[in-house]
Amino acid sequence: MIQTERLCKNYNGFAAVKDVTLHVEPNEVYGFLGPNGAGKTTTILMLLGIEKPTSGQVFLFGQSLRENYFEIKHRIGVLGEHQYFYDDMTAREYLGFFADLYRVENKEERIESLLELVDLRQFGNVRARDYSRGMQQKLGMIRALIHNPELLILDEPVSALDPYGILEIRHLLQEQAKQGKTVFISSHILSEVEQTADRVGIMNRGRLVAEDSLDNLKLKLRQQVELELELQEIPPQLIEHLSPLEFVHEAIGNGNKLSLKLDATADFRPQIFAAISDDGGVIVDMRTKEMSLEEAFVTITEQNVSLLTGTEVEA
Amino acid sequence: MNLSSGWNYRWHVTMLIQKRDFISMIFGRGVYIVLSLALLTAVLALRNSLSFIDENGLFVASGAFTFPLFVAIFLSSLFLALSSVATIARERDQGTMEALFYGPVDSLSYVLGKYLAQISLYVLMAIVYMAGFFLYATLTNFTFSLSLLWVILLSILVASDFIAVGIFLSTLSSKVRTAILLFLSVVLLFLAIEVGQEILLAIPVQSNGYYNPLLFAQNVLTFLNQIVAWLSPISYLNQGIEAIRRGHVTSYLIIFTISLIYTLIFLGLSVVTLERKGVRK
Repeated sequence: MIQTERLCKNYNGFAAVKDVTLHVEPNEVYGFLGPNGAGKTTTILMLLGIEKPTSGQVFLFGQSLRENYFEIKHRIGVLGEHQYFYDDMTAREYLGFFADLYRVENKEERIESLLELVDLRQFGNVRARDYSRGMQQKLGMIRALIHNPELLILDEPVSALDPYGILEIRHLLQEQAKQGKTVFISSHILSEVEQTADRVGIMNRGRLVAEDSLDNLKLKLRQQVELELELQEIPPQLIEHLSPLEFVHEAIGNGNKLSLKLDATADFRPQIFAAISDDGGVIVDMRTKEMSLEEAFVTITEQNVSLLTGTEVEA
Repeated sequence: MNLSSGWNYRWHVTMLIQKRDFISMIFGRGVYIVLSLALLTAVLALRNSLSFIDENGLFVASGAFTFPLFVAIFLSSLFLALSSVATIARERDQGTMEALFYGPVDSLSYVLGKYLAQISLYVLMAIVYMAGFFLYATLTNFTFSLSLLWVILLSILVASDFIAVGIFLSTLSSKVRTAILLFLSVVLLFLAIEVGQEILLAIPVQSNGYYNPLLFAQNVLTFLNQIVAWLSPISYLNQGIEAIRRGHVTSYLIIFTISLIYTLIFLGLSVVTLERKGVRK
């Protein structure tokens, strides 16, 4: 659905995007992550043909924009980083203008149903520029959906929203994904992407440093597994017996709770069970602490890019 | 979507942008102020002509409408050029241009849409002027000659040249103020060259065998004025009116064609500049 090949963008010698090769499959929700200034928005603008790449190529639906500009643009819905509105247009007029631009049939019906979807129907005749930031974000979102596009490209779709608004947009996106649409979300709100994305790409300093499913990314980054156990009581010699084991990096006891950091190269839980049992311990509860996307993201962007790429990232 | 439907879509987008801008201008005050000003000037000039006829005991006054029409064309063209200068720079500054380009809008459809909005407004203004002059001619028995129609036809291209230049200057700048200052600087430069040349030519130069800096300045300004004559749409209007007055159809058609090419060149430059400069703030 989206394919870039060694995409680069330089601004007066500064490389904003370097060799980005990413691909987004049809019907998937793709999270595009990265800290501020990582090159996410520049990449999106190149996808849309608004910024010209210094080198590299972009293919949408298997074609370049030069080949079939109007058809491709007609199949995409875009929500930009900032929302811009005409001073003199109400929300309904604004949506009507874009509906005409995309030649939407039954546009009045479509506009009303979309306004209803994001609770803006009663404000439809208010000038869009007088909306609050959150309302403008929602209006921008339904503008992107007005022509029922196959591919949605969203730059920070929930950045200006309150928790209720975030929930609304999340449901909207999940609904779009259910309908088989491809969604490309750029965001720095990691928990949001974690809840919606099938796969993520992580940008750092202009480079795409990782692109995989969330589970695979976490797995790749996991050098240690954190195991939390609750015992009836911790046998007196247990910590001393566990600590020397070569796959145990850390063992801490606190009351009847035992926290272990284990090597992630294999599943060492049977050995742990055996050691506890040998010392007469009884396990009441056990859980493996999962790495959140936030932790994975910080790990990737700040410390261990080499884990994913096999190379060191240049400073 | 094949090539022809691509063009079809581009035309659809062009007409939508044209319609939006046209409606926006029709509901603005500027166009009515210019119309009123132009018609008021015309009435004053025609009253002056009536007094002249009365005082001199004449029965006929030829070309009474030429000057009022020239003023109306000049004011309208200047207004539309300024409006064009502001239009693209404002949209870029406000970010609405970027939002449009997320969708099926490209540089060509955008520039054409902007241009067509302005020129269609001029056509509407020209119709109002003609109706006004025709009414005045009926009431006062002034001759409403066919040549006025030829002037009006040429004026559409002159206005078109002004608009194309305005759009071009607008694509160069991201800020409305900068774009307007750029336009006014160009207008003032042209005026300065023309007035400067007239002033310098009025000073007699005595050749005494030595190099005379005044003569050099006169030559330079004459040369610059020739360039201005090619670049200034008003000079095409002057030449066109002169051709109509003398009945030189060929000269009229040449000026008509040059004006058309002038518009196409500046619109083309606008598209290229917009492509290169981008649509972002």
